[in-house]
Amino acid sequence: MRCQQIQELLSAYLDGEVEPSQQSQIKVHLETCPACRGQWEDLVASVALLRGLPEVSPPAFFREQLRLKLESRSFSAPRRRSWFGWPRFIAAAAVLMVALSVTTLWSGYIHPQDFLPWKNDRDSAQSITVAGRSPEKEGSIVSPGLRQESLKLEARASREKDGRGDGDVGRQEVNAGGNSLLREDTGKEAPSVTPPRAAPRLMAFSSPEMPSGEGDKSVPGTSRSGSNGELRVMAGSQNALPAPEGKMVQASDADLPGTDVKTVKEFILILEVPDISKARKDVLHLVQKYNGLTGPEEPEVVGQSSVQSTVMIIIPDEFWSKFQEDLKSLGQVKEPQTRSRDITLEYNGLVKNLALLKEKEKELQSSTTGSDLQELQRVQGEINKTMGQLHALSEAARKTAVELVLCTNSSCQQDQLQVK
Amino acid sequence: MYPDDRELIDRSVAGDLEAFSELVRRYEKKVFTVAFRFTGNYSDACDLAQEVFIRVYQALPRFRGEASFTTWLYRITANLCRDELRRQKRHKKTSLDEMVANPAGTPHPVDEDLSPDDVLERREFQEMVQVCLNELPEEYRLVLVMREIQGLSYEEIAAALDISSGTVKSRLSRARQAFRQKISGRQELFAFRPRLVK
Repeated sequence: MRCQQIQELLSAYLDGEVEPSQQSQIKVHLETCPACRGQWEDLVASVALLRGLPEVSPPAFFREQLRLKLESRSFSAPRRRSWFGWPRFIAAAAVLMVALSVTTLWSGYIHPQDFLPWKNDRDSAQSITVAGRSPEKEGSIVSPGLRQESLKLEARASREKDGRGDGDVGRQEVNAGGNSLLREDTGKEAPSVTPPRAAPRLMAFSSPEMPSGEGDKSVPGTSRSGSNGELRVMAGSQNALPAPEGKMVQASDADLPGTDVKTVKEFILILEVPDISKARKDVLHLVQKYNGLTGPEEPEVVGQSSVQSTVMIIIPDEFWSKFQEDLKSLGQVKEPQTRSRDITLEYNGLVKNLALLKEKEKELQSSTTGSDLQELQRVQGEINKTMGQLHALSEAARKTAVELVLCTNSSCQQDQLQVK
Repeated sequence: MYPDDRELIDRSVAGDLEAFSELVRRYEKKVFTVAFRFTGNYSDACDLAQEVFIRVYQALPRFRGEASFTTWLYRITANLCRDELRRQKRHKKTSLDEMVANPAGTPHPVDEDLSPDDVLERREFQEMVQVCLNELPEEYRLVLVMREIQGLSYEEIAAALDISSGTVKSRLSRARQAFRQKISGRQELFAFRPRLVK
């Protein structure tokens, strides 16, 4: 072989990827040809440099931070550039409002004797994570009270292809969310789902005044933007995991001690600051630092010249006290009001209902009559709705909601403050 | 590959974040190394690697084990590396200095055989190598990182980068060539031989 051929093969020769016949040819040639040997030695040396680069471990907080990101995936965090990209924030902040409004209305419709408190936490927790995972992946939950425009804006925002990184990331997220919609490993047929890009990662649920008994054909929001497809796939995917469900059903008969108490914590904090807009920026920095979420700011004018501003914030429980501490450095904290709502009962009630619905679903799935099929669809809709509610609750229970009122010392007079 | 990966995967699919954390623990170094060697930047690598695992979590239900988990993981990593580069090109001109920046306190592999001076020298040396790597086009960089740093076979690289084995062979040859040219411009790297103890 000529030198040029030899030299072209050196890389493969290094990796043992040449034919045995060529291998011996090259070996012999290298022993006698200084030019080629020089090339060979250069190759070996440069590869050695690369192989000398060590493996690198990620920082200590890597997994913890990753976990936080995974847990908050159904919310969108404040973007670095667009602090006030309000469509996503509305969706995020609204999750909590859904949780609160749902729980309030729900307890009105379930008679206490209709359900037993769910005592077996481990299994219910397991089934909840099963339930909770899909909504987490599919998107956040939007209150039906939400304005139409915000949903459209969410759709637009996620479809936005601006030149900025946020747009790209958003697109990636949508695609990722969209891809997970097209899950087919459940064996159920995936019904037509709107193309991933168009579908915002939201699921709208029907308004809470729908009692569990009656079917309600108009489920506002399910028809919107392909959510129907999303919901359907979710139901299918849950059936792919029979084990936790099985355990859950059995466990309902056992009476085990220890109930996991779930509470939604809410605070109203008044912060007196010298400069409201600066304080707002600082607060948002803080919120991002602690992996929290903010709603849109709503400046309100009170009186002639004094202004106050309210920010809705959601902070993961574990960071609440640190966040509070940091807030104190921004200004004077006045009279925090706290409210803690125990949602354990609602939560457990939903869990029990979910179990019943799933049993019903199983029954109906074995039938073939037309009316049963319709009923099956209705039941599946209910299942999805319930899972969404459960998810909203469990998410809400792990976070603290703060209504932060920023005011200057002229506007901080107690009687002038408008607090919701 | 760990024998009970499959169990962790199944539990992760069921929503068990603890199980997923353990899965991440087993593979984070591999992913992070590729991310770091590709971006040349510690904090970008961190974001990228986390994004990889988020994607992994989302796509896990679809992983059925036809390919090896590691290969699948590398594939996602490579794709995100490419995306990352595309995104960077759009926004900023990354200066080489910026790219190699190692923030204070960045952990480096500790080698007890070397004196502090030697360690420093070695670190600078490695940074120079990294800079050369970063000057290469992305597909060359990817194939070099996969082969030389992660030690993947041609078949594994082909699967991870979604190219044929033949393409791996020719691309690797050209990539090594290109890398050689980069470092030939920096003679000091050649002069500094050997504490390439591994």
